[in-house]
Amino acid sequence: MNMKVNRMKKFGLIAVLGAGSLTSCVGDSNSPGLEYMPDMYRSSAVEAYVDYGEVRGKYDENAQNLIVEKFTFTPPSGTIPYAGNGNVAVNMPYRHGAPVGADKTHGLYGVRQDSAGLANAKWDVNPVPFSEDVLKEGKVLFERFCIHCHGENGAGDGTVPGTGKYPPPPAYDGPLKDRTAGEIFYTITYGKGAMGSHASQINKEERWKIVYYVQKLQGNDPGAATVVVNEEAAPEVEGGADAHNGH
Amino acid sequence: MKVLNSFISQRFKLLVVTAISLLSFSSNIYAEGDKAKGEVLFKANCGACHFPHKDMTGPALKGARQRWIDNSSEENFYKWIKDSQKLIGEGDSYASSLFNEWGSVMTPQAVSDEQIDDIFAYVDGYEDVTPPPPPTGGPGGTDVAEESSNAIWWIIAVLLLIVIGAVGTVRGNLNRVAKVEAGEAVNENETLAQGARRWAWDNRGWFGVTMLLVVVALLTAGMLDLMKIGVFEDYKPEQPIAYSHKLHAGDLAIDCKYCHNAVTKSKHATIPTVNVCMNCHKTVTEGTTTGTEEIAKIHDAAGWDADTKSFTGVTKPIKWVKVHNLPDHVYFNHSQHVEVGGVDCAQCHGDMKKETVARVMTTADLNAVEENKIKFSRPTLTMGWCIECHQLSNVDVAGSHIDGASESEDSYYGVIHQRLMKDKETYQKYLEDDVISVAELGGWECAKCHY
Ligand code: HEC
Ligand code: HEC
Ligand code: HEC
Ligand code: HEC
Ligand code: HEC
Ligand code: HEC
Ligand code: HEC
Repeated sequence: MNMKVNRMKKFGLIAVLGAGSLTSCVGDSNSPGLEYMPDMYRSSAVEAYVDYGEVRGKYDENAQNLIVEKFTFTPPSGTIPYAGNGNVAVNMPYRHGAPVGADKTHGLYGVRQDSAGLANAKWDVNPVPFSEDVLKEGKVLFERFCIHCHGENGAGDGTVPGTGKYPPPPAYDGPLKDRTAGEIFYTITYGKGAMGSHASQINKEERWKIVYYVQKLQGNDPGAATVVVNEEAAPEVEGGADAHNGH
Repeated sequence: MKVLNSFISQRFKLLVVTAISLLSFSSNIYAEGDKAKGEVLFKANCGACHFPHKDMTGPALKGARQRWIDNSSEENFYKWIKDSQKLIGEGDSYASSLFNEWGSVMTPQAVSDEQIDDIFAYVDGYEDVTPPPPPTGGPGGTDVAEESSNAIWWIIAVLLLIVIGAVGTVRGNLNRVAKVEAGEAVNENETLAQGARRWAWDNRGWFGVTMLLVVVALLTAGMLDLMKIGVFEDYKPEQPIAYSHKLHAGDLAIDCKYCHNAVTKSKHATIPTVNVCMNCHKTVTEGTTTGTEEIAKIHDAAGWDADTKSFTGVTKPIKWVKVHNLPDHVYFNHSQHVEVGGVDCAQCHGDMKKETVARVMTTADLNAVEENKIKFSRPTLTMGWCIECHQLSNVDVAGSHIDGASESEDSYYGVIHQRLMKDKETYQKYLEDDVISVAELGGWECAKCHY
């Protein structure tokens, strides 16, 4: 009989301790919870965002250095793929350098600078052929990347300037009405004044699509703009000829 | 004549005095402009580069007119605004000193003199109305409260045990005294353990039942806890910067994809690099709840020197702690779900617009979001969770078909899907209910997720 009671007590004790220790780990929001044997959540290969090179409490120095090098300011170059649609003009590297001093004003470290960049970019032709679908895509992208500063109609009344802590951008159909497609592209790529460079977030094809939508908000005809610009400069750019025939 | 003259000059003086005192009501003695008009003009033309009360791309404009009067002339003040480069060309020393100090060109402004007066009526009357940060609060406050309440429960439990023990001993001693007085035999050498055993045996009926209940209850609790092994629900680690989704994605209505911009293109949604924060935090240097403290950490990481207003080139990574993490033996791809499958973030990540830093949502949180069509019963981020959703989600086979396209022109998947829909005999088993779930297209095959 003694034996029986004894066993029961031990059992009870184990159950109490077990349950207690389990709940105590799980309740902490800073701990991911319990793991039954290491289940490859932490691998010794460096995985994006995981532990920054820590393997079972130890840091591998090489991995650390790699991470400091790679994960710092902007995504590693080449992480935003060239648009894979075979449109050569879109895929070509952007010819115009950043404004002088862009490393100091906009943190564009290591980007080629060119005092004539903006002036040369002015008459660039939009290499993405215009269509209503492209304009629609541009609208979606504008609503993702620009709307919270520039506002729904580009009047500079987005939610972020609405806080009073961020400067309201000028209205597209006001002071910015005469900005050409090339200038708009240049601004998205390198930023201007308070506006930062958005090149790390938006690839070139997407930027050109947004340009069409901005032109619409300027009150200009985005389809027509291609032609006007086309007559003045760079007729050899691909896509321009098609657009010309269309009008 | 003299009298008349002095009379006029008297009245003139009076007029000037009243005018000045009237104007100084609007705390501005120069401009006779209209504040309301000025505010609109300021925001439309100057707001991109100037704040009234602090420096930005250009200097704070409050008191600028006085600075010009002191250093140059009021006439040049108007000239500057209309074309600053021209004035510099004319050799005005204050203008060129300004240009040298600020280093960037103020674009010529198409405004009239009256409009400038309106603008400065607004600017000089501007009061900074940023509310001061509340004294308490900040991140971590609630956690501390929770922890201490946990500790209180433990203390109460220990106190209860002590009380029970004390009462038990007293009662045992009393019993013994009673027995001795009644002349019954008392085993003086009985140890505590023997006593307890005897007591249990004497009361074996209800003691056995209680013990059984206790053991069953503990085992159930233990089992439930064991089920949580490998389940990371509610994991919400502290982050290096007290960034808030509620503020940015909720109040400021910034699209999730502005920051997590690779989500439509790649496996990873990506955590925004610090340059994305700097798109706004170059100018937004102060938050409502944390003041400059947290935002200074962003500046530190980006190498932004808030005093000289320039990037120094010395950068540091921000070590965000990864919250959602699948084991290495699973392949999960965001673009497959978000771009191809059209699944909304909230279906898997819940309502992030109400959260501060990210948390692994529980099944209950996910089901609480009204727009979520799929209601889960399995814990988030487990295999059961993926599988359940693949059974309940349908693939939009019609959507991949280009309207009006013939088979040769259709998209790659459009062709396959059209064949599926037409050839009912071969694919009958999929089409019994006229919908094709992800599971039926292979979403349950081990190798789709494990390879
Ligand atoms: C973080 C807020 C913010 C975002 C996001 C933003 N902008 Fe801007 N933008 C500004 C501000 C502020 C200015 C005024 C800059 C100045 O003149 O100093 C501006 C100016 C501009 C200009 C005029 C530049 C010129 O030539 O004077 C264009 C064009 C423009 N933005 C386009 C865009 C487009 C397209 C997007 C989306 C891809 C975008 N912006 C996203 C804040 C923003
Ligand atoms: C594109 C950005 C920009 C815009 C828009 C702009 N400014 Fe400026 N402003 C500057 C800069 C930069 C300076 C500093 C001098 C320099 O570098 O040229 C400046 C200087 C000034 C000064 C001299 C300040 C002093 O301390 O003496 C005045 C006055 C002024 N701006 C008024 C205006 C008014 C009024 C408007 C709107 C009608 C305006 N600015 C619009 C960029 C701008
Ligand atoms: C089908 C469910 C699902 C959807 C829809 C989804 N996610 Fe995720 N998300 C996950 C899973 C699972 C992980 C963990 C991935 C891993 O560890 O490999 C994750 C991880 C993340 C991460 C961590 C960093 C990374 O890339 O691993 C971020 C940020 C994120 N998601 C944001 C988003 C955003 C923003 C959206 C909406 C555009 C979204 N997610 C839509 C399931 C989903
Ligand atoms: C599109 C603009 C924008 C972007 C991008 C942005 N922020 Fe902010 N953030 C703001 C604004 C505006 C405020 C001030 C809101 C307020 O206090 O009213 C703010 C406030 C903050 C605060 C202080 C909150 C407080 O109440 O004290 C922190 C911390 C912060 N942001 C971190 C970040 C981090 C980290 C990133 C990058 C991942 C980021 N922000 C990106 C606009 C932005
Ligand atoms: C202003 C930039 C910004 C916006 C907008 C934003 N996020 Fe985040 N997000 C971050 C940052 C910075 C982190 C890393 C800190 C953290 O974990 O909270 C993060 C983390 C996350 C994570 C967890 C990543 C991990 O480590 O597993 C998820 C999930 C997530 N965000 C989803 C969303 C969703 C859904 C939205 C839209 C409602 C959104 N985010 C909007 C900046 C942003
Ligand atoms: C909210 C529902 C949902 C959840 C949760 C979910 N998925 Fe999916 N998944 C889908 C849908 C819908 C598709 C089909 C997309 C399409 O091709 O149209 C899909 C497709 C996939 C595919 C491609 C299947 C194929 O046939 O090629 C993989 C792999 C996958 N999911 C992995 C995962 C993993 C791993 C998880 C868990 C971490 C997960 N999914 C969680 C909805 C979900
Ligand atoms: C939709 C994607 C998906 C499919 C299909 C899938 N799994 Fe999994 N599996 C997962 C995920 C996600 C995990 C990790 C769960 C976790 O972290 O708790 C997992 C974990 C596992 C584990 C490890 C269990 C553990 O405790 O970590 C095994 C074993 C496994 N799966 C076997 C299979 C087998 C066998 C099949 C085919 C019948 C299969 N899986 C199909 C997503 C999937």
